Amino acid sequence: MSLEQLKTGSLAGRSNLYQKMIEEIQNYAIILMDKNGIIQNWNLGAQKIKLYNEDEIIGKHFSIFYLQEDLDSNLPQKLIREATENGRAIQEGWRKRKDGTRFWGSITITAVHDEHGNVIGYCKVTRDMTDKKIAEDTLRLSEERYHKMIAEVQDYAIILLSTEGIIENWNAGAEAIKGYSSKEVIGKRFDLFYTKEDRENGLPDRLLQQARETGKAAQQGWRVRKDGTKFWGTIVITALHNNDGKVIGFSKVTRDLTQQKMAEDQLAAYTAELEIQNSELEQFAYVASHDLQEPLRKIQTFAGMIQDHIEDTDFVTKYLSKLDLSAKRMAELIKSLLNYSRLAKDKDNAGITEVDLNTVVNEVKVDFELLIEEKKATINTGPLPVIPGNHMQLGQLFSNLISNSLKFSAEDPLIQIYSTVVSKDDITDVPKSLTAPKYYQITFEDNGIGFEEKYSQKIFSLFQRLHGKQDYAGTGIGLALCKKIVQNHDGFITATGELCKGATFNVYLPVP
Amino acid sequence: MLKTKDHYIPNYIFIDVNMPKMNGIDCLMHLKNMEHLNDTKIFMYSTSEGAAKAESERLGAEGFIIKPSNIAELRGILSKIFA
Repeated sequence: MSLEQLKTGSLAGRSNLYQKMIEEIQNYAIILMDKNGIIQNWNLGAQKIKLYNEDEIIGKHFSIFYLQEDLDSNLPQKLIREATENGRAIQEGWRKRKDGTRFWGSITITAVHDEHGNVIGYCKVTRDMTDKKIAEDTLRLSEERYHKMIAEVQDYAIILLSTEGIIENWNAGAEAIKGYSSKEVIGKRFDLFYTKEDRENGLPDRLLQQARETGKAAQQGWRVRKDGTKFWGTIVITALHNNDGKVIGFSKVTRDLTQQKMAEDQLAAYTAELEIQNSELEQFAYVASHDLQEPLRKIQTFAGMIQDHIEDTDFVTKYLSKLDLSAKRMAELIKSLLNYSRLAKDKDNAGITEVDLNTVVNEVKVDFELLIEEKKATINTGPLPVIPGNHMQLGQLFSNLISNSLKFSAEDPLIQIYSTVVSKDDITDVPKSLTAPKYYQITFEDNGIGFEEKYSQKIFSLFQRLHGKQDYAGTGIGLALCKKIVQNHDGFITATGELCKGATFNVYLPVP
Repeated sequence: MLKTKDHYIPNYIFIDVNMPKMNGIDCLMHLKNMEHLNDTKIFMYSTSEGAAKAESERLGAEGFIIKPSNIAELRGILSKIFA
């Protein structure tokens, strides 16, 4: 019998065809039950899914497919009642095969009525959805684990931001690092974590914009915790896109690297300190090999000459006094070298007090009273700050700078000393070991003989003399001492000069 | 004198590295720029070598003398130069 014949055939033939169709459907168990739930009919799909033969199952109650716990809760009866009342009942759940194994069934029980509308039985269609169920469960589990993972990561703050930068999600790491609970922070904007300066500079929006345009923005910087303390964070903001490539939000991963940052900073400070010590050692080696060598060589030469003319009293007397002068010079150098090396930094801050620099200037003026009068010098002083420091060392600093100005002076010496506050960013050539944001710039300006600009660094080296011993006294250690004293006070000193016009020394000391 | 009188041509010039006002290296540089001194041999001297020796040689000094501590030694050095 062809399909065409069947279609146009008798009613009995069509009914027969319908019967065959049901019987041979393999993917659905289609079962006819009487109004008591007793199985009347069994198809190929039912056999495939539930593994019973037609002979074994017809006449049995359909609850045979149900698990014990579902039987205990009367699930089969409930479904029948629902189908009776509503026309059908739909349910998904675990069912039992003949061999005791389980399958995940999607079940529809439909009530079958006679011409008067009375229920005469039920049609039960069951589909085996086990594979789909397992796949779904696995996916759900994996998603759950993923969310849990993010939520419970402690070392990274992982935050979800809306396109506007509003915080939508908060994990344990974010709470640990930033101090806010999720309740306090969700719905707020992420600039909350930025310093006032960064907010004013528009940093948060710049980072978002960068992430929007390039997909990612990475930055390191100080951020603010809930309690106002700061932490050094490394931050990566990543743009999240939908399938059309539109930005739908951002993920922000922040790591607290304060410990590392502090260690790095300390290392940098040690390195800077070492560099200073190293250059001092180099200077010392030079001093020992050159400056101390010079008078020693003279002593040797004169001694040799005296020996050759030991009979000539005039000669001997003359060269003995030259020899003595060289020995004195050497003693002087050694003494000032010792002074210099003793000028150590107060490691334990024992000698640190509040020092009024106005007092210091006045003390130095008194020390040089006679010389000032003799040279007809004028010293003009503006108001100077009070800073924490070593009074004796600062006294020596002022004394050396003022005595230099008096010493290398021309007619009518004029020395001006004044102080202003400058921001670190406005000073050029700040040594990188110095970190204070603001400095007192104390200027010593004179109208003396000055020096050539190219010596502005060299001038601070040990025993470096720009002017002849014949014309100007001294060992050449004064400015080296000044440099060291200023370094001891976490500051630095610069010199500018013009030959025959004058010299200017700027001393920078941190504003506490 | 060297600047103004270009008929005055010395055979040798000895310059101390450490001098007041203009130091020896600067002095050497100036002298090397004077054409009439092209044949003059210029020697530098100082207490120690330091960086000055390499700099002097780079600028074309004939030699670098470390100041000896007695006359006999000096005599020895000079007699080699004048030989």
